[in-house]
Amino acid sequence: MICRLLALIAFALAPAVHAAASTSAFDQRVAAIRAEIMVDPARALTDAEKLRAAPHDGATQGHELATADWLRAEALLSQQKPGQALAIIHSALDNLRGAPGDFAIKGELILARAGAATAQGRVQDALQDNQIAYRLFVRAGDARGQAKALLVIGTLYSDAGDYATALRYFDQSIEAYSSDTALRLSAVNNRANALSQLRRFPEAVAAYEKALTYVRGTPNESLILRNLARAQAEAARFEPARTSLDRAFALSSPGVASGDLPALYGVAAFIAFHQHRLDEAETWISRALQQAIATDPETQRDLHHTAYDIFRARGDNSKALAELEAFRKLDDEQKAVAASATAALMNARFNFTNQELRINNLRNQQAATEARFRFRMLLGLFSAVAVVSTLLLIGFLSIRRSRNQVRAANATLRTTNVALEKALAAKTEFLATTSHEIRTPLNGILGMTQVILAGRQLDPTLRSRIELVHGAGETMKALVDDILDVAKMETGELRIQTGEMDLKRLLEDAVTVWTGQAETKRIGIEFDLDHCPGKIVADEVRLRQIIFNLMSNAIKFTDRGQVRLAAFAETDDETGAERLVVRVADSGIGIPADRLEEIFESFRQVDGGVTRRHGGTGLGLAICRSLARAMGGDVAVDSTLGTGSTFTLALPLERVAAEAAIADRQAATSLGTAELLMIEPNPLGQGIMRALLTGECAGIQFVTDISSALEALQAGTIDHVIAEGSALGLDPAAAGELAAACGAAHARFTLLLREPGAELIGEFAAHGVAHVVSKPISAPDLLSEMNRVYGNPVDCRTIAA
Amino acid sequence: MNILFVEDDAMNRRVVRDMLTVAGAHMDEAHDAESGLQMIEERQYDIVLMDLRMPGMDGLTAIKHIRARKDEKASVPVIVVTADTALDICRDCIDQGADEVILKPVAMNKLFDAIGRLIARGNSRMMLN
Repeated sequence: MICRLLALIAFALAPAVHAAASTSAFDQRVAAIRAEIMVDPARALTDAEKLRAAPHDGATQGHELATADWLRAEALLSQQKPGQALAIIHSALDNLRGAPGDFAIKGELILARAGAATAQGRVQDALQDNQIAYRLFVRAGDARGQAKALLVIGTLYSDAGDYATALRYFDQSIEAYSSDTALRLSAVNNRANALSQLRRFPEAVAAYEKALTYVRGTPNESLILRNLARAQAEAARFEPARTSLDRAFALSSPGVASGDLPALYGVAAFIAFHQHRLDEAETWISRALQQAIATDPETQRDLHHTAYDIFRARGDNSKALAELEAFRKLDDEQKAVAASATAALMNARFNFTNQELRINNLRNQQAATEARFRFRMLLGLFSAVAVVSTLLLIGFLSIRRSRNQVRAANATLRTTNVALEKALAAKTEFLATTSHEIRTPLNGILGMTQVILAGRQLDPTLRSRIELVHGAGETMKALVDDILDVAKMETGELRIQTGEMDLKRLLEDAVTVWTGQAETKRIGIEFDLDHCPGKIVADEVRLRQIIFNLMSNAIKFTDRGQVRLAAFAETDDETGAERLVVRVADSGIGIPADRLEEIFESFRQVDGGVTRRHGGTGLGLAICRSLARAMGGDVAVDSTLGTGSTFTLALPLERVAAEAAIADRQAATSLGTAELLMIEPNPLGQGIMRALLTGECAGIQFVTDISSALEALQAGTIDHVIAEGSALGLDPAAAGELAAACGAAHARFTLLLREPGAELIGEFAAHGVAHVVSKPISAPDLLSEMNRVYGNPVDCRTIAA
Repeated sequence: MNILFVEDDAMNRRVVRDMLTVAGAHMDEAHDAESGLQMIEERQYDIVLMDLRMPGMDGLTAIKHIRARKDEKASVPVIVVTADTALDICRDCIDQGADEVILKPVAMNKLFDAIGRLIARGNSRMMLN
């Protein structure tokens, strides 16, 4: 009968006090919409959309659009449409990406995202987002925002039944900001509720009394009074409890919300019962039960509990039993909800596999306890009326016993969790530190090999030696990444990010990379990619990781024969859905049948000796399987000892719709449809051009010299070649040769020259270079210069000299 | 182009300096966040590269100081260069005001792509050389 849900939106949206001081037209409209959301969210949504569509000042446009989006999201949230709200929040956050500062509005958006997560029952995400929002508000110096985030976090813990933690957050929220009455009221009331749940009634009474000072004359006054009365009665202060209750009744009688009265009747019954006025108590509770359906489940549960106490005291056993059943049903449901929320919150903090196992064990014990209790209750129901009283006593005792057992199990759970949390924190810390410490020297090795290899005048022998060092460094980095990946998988932190990718090219890459390795072991690589889908939607990085791991594994364990790679699509007979199958078969040592599953566990190879002979961390297959499962598929193995093993990766297949169109290539008619090839030896120049041209053209690739450019032109897929003059040694003849090759390949050609004189341009023109752009040039000018060449047909003139 | 790298580890500074030399770019160095902030005060930079873990002030706090400036230097593009692989490190850095995050060991092409993006984004009127 505790009222705990003071509409959070009331404080989330009530305009902040300081906002009223700065009264730009925009701020005023925002304040109006915030107020409107509480009253008429549908209209607020329309107004927020109008606000977004209105013209904005250039300097504050980003902020204003984000604010309008936030209001739209809040309006949708209060209409119970978290999905639509989320879409808006995501795009608003994307728009803010890269914009420095404005942490307050980012905080509000993340807080709204947390609200959506709560509405969708994703407690773990909600907790994380609230914590992020809190940090953002700290950065923004927004104390009110901080208090808001802390309050919501407290409420999450409260919902999960962890009242001690909730209490800490409510306290912090009150400390963080005290000038907002609505916010403070929610925090103080929720704090008092947590104290009640912890059975610290005198403190709860004091807190409710404080809350009462904020609500005088508001509609919330009767709710707080009701909470206060209940806590006073629990603290055995019956006279003050009656006074509080009478005041609540006085406020409630005219046109009160329908759920309010039964709760008040319930408190009245509770007080009367504890004062041993059973007739009065029965009258109150009967009235309450008649209207109980109008209240929330928690109030109903408490009403049934009070009713059971009253009927039992009056000796009305059949009614008491019915009430007990009703109570138990609601209590079970609410415990299950709280338990899943608790589990999610625990996961948010730490959820290594081992610890989950221990928690599951404890949960099973708890479930068994409850099952035993239920069995006893059933026995009771089937017994004769004559023994009902006796059974009721047993039932009553067993509730207490069961409760005690559950309480004891929870206590064990808490102690175990604290210990595990420490151990796991140490493990995470160790992995993070190790990874950090290894990455630092690797940065030296890989950094310098990259710098050396970037040099163009490098002796070929020296180059191949440096490449070897670089390759070894990359392998070492991959091992460190593997270890980190395993830790991330165990904590559920690994994420899959899908996008369009070229599967066939990825597999061809894999063949190329591993052919060299296979040759040194004198084994062959065969592949069948004829039926392999081309462009698909998947997580390229993770798919590459799986395939490379499977290939590496196959080659590692094969001493003679060959490794076969095949990929194809197949249709599921039952669902009709398409599936991608990638198969890696080797003729290696094989795996004993009874150990086929073991190889997918972390840090496991079939015997320790194998690790010493074949190297590796023994993490590869564990990672492959976890990744495949995270992508909705799996990795399976089939093996014959001494003959070989076949690993099969199966994933849901999503093809890119436009695949057919790509095969049927058309020549580009504008820069936007052109495949570009740029000759630019300077890596920074490449970086800038890639950033500038990506999105302006169909695709761009870079080479560093003429010969690689000529090679790339052979494929016939390039529409436009752009050459940096210095890459051609400013040699008109060489440029002319390249221009001719472009003409032959039906590609346009643009030459970039730094401050060329008219004479030099003339020289290049004489060699057939028609389109010269002089630098320095601004980015927009360069783009329009490049677009200009699409007005003309492709220049096919031959070289003059 | 003026680039500043705030990093306490001499080897890491050397690696990035040599990478930028390949591209013909000059790099100033600061050994800790405090002197880095001082150099930003005194000079004009196009890009600031920032390590996270440093003795004294850490990188995120330094970014906070930069973003809190009242002049146009508050919006100088900042790239975090870190060996920290904690979950959400990227999101955290971006939330705290960084523009890009690069993990150590630094891949040269990623470094130049990040610098390229920031140059192209922030200075579309800048003259390309």
